[in-house]
Amino acid sequence: MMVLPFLLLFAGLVALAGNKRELGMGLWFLSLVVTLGLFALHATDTLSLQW
Amino acid sequence: MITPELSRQLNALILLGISGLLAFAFLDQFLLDDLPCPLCLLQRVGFVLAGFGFALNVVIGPRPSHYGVAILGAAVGAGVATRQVLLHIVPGSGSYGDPLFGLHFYTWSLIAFCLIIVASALLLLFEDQFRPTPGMIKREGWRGATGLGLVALFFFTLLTLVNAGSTFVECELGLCPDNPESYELLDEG
Repeated sequence: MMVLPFLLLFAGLVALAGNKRELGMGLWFLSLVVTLGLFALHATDTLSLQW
Repeated sequence: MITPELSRQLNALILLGISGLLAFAFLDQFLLDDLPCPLCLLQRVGFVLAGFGFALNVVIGPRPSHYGVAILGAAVGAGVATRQVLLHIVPGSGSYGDPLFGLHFYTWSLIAFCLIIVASALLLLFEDQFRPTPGMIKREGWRGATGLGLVALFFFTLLTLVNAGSTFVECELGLCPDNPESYELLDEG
């Protein structure tokens, strides 16, 4: 799962190399969503902050 | 005044800088055997997400939406870095990895993401870069990129691919453990 955002971004960069801007930006956006999902999965512990 | 061509060069420089950060993290991983944690990996993704906007500017040409891509990517990375800073901000709550010049990598990372956002905002102030100049060459993908832009795109794409490979070796297809101690794929061998 953690490898997915890197792979999507690599595919997006390859799309850019082929001058396919819309496809590249679509893959970038997908990667952004996956990254936020992975962050939500990993940010589960409560922060030990006291005010 | 920043012409579209100058803007491409500046964006290529920033892209090279981001590639340098990714390369440094990679060197630290292998030379000092410092395995990246899940939040560290997500910060690397944040750098690639942000760098994608600058790559768009180098390949397609400068557009405000491309800077938006960079700012959004940096904001995601900054969010992850902030989370990691807050995890260790209370004295006695430990840290992850060795410090560099007194600050841990996640703190440097947060500073770098903030700098990327500020640099993007500063470049957005120069509207001349978005106006096509007479005789401007229409670029077509990487074939149109030259010199610095081509070098930056090559290293950035290579580092993205290498990070994908390294993450696969460390975590395989699942989620990474919070405190990784070995490369999961190599353990099976």
